Amino acid sequence: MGSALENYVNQVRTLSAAGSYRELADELPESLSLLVRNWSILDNVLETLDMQQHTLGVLYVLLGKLHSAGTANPEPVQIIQLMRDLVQRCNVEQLRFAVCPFYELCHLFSDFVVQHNLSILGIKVLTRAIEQIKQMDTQLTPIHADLCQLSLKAKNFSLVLPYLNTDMTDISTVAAECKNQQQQQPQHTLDANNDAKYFLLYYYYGGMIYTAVKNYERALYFFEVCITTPAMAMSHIMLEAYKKFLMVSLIVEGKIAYIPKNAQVIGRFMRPLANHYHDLVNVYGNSSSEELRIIILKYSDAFTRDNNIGLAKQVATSLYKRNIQRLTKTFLTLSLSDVASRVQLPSALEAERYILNMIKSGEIFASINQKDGMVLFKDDPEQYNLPDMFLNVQTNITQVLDLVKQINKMEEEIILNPMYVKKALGNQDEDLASQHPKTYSGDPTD
Amino acid sequence: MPMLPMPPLMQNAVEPMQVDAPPNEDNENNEEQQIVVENPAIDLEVYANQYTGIARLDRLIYVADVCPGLALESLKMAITYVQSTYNVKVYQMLHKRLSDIQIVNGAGNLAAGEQAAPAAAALPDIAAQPAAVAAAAAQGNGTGEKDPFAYDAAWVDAKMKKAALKLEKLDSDLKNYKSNSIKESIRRGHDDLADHYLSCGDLTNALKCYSRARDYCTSGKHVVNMCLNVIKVSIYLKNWAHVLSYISKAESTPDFSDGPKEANAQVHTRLECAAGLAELQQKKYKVAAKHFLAANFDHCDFPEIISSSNVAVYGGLCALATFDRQELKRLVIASASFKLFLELEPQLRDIIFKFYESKYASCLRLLDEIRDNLLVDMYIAPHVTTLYTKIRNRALIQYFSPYMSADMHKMATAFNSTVGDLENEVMQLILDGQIQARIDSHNKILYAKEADQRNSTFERALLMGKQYQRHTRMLILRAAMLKSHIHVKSVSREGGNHGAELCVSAGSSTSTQLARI
Amino acid sequence: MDLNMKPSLAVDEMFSEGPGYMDMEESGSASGMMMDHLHTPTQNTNDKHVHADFYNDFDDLFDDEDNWAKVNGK
Repeated sequence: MGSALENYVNQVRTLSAAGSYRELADELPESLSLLVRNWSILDNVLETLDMQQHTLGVLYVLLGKLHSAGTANPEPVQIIQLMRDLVQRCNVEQLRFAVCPFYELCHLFSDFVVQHNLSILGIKVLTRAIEQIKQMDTQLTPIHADLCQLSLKAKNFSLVLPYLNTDMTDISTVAAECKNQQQQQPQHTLDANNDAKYFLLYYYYGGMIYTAVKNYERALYFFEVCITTPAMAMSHIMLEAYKKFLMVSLIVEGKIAYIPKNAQVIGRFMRPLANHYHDLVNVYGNSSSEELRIIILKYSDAFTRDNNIGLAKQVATSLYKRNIQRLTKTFLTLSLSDVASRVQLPSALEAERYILNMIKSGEIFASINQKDGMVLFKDDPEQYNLPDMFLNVQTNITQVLDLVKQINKMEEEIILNPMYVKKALGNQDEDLASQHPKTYSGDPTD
Repeated sequence: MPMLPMPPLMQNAVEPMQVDAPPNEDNENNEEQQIVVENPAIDLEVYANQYTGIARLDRLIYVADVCPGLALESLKMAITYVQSTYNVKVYQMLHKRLSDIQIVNGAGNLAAGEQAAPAAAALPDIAAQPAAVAAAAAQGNGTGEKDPFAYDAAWVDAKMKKAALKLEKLDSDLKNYKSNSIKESIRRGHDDLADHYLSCGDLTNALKCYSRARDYCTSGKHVVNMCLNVIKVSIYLKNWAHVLSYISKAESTPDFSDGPKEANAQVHTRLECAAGLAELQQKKYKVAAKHFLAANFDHCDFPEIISSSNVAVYGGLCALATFDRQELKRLVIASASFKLFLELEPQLRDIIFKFYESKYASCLRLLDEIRDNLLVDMYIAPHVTTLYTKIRNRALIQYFSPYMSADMHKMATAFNSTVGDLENEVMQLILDGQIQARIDSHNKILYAKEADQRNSTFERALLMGKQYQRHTRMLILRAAMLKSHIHVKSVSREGGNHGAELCVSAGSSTSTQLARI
Repeated sequence: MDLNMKPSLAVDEMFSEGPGYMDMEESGSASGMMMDHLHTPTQNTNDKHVHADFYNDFDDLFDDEDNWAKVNGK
């Protein structure tokens, strides 16, 4: 081991033993390039360090390993094992002093396993990483986006869904962490849009995951968050989310309930780049499955390029279903062949397949008389008089009340914040003094 | 991927569903659908003579636009009329149109003396009048007289000179009045100038001058007069918002009710007609109907804009399309005043009565008969399809309203329709919530359906709760975003922190308070 | 329930047209600046596009067997 690396080990050991984690965390970034240069002997360094006692030291060695992965080409299994050990056995107290490097490590690790087609092995590591670093259950970290990425790559959603189902109330960002630690923001994250990137990615990937598991309403919520993020420039993540937002809107609502009026960015940059998707929306509005089929066929190259052709087909399916649902509202009886022709399905047989499926999934209530090929449409049997429904209503009320409480608490925090009070009062004085009728509409508590 | 066995659109099946397809009229882009009228049963001369000035020209030009069969005749009529004005531009335009038609009709054969005859021959469908015109023209040529419809360059020159001279004179008159500061003369001077512009077809300047007269009005009567002038030109310009705003200006003029009763009633009727027209164009059919119904037959004299027949037709159709049974009885059928209007349009009167008597089949048949006549009218034509649909839907709704169940075969007969078509129509009405019923397509019976208030209340409450939760969650998340300064910055080329600065300044706005704390 | 009215009102205000986009474009200075940028001819238009290199290389996750609608004849 070269003397420089010996120094590194000594520094880690001494400062860790003294509990001077802050000092250590401040000094380690300078050693990173050293570690990267000496990639070939990093395993020796690791042997001298303990995951628990020298968490910060190990973290930086792993960073060095992943930064040098391009040249070093380390054994993927080894990297995954090391990461697994780190997130299992690390000392969170030490980790707190190096949150940003830890985020970076997770990003690099994700890239690494994606490159080696081992995404599935990274999922558990990242969930553990999140568990270690997050400060509350409803905190979103930049690692969440990595977790979603690996889940999508691995097409395995069981571990990520509990995270996605949590409604976030707090966001951990590199910018804020560095400020907390009074550290310089690392050079590579100086990109002003770094934090926005991981935020947008989480909501974009999350929307994709919900779309894949056919929870379209939640998918729509995620895409909507993504495209309504305040923006002064167009993010390509937002653009792709916008395309999917339009399609999922059709599946959920049958139309675009509203185009978010994030006007500058959506109108100027995203709309023109999503023309095909707007055409799709317009044609869907005509309720003709045949027209819709033609336009999807026409744009199939573009949709395929965007990896959205499957979703386009879901859109087509949803129109058939929607039109069948309309029939149930207007007809008591209708022959299968009439159903087929009214919703433009190729045959009575095909219509029967749709109807059976929709009955099964509770989307419609009907029965089919095989003898004469008649469909008998029924009303929703729900009478809102069973204990289950009562419980459902109760639960909903509780949830609403909880949200109200939460909002009240947030409001209180704002009102009691001295800066806010000063600002609010200051403004008032100003207005009074100058008699300037400037509206101060910004008070969210007003 | 498997080949899709798409059927060649099921020939013998029911029509494909057209649920919710928006009617064309509602589509802003399709505002001007291409109307082509085949067989209107109107006497063009009688029709045109109801109007004067720009109104007559506009209406004749519209007929030429939509009705190939009458195009030639109406262009010629317009040419004859325009020569009594200073409107040289329209004269030239009309001649251009006329020669375009004649080139098409005459297949390039424009030899003198033959020009009119082949034009008529190429239109075998039209009956006597154009042929008569053509014959007259041919005769005229035969006797060596000048073709009255040949382009007259000398006339154009002379008119333009005259117009310029008159403009100069009116202008200097006005300057004189102004230097003498006689308010009344200045007002009249403006009006005269405006009249002249109008005669020249310069609507923008006419409007300007009529409006300028405003500052020199010394009585309520003058103000009302100014308003009427502005309204008239604004109608020509199709500026309906302007029309409506000047109507309310006129109505709120303080001593509006002064002056002789006779004149006042006339002003009232003019304002009602103008308001009806403006509302009609903005598709507010019910309001339009009420305005037209408020017109007074004895004082309906507004040939620069509208005829009494128009009031009957516009008012009647709009009422039929939007009034319920009671309103129809009370405001239309029982109206002594509107009765007189309806006498001018006996067919429409019959339609309204048949509708009220629930004789829908004959009502709808009569409506179909007058359709072509309506389509040559520039103000009602764009609304005919919508109004007809509304009337038919109203009839369907009214027909079914007393029943618990209805035989769709009988219903189809009552509406001149097939069961299949009727099924489609009723389906649309059910989807729109206009009929509470379901169709037993097997037995072709329509069953009324009671809405379950309790269930729908539960349904709505749960939905509302869900939306509230969604919105609130997003709000909370947004607060977190602001607090963490999550936003996409525009990264300028100098790199570095420029983007961040941008966003700080953006924070000067309101709700970023959350972020600042 | 009176307790709930006030905050829900606040929410409605913010969401008057869908979820709020309160800040950026409503601030005159911000959008003004945006316009400035747009109208500066020397400005590279790509400045307005970020995250061009984000990872989006996934299989089509939405094309599954119960997707009955057959769209193309390839």
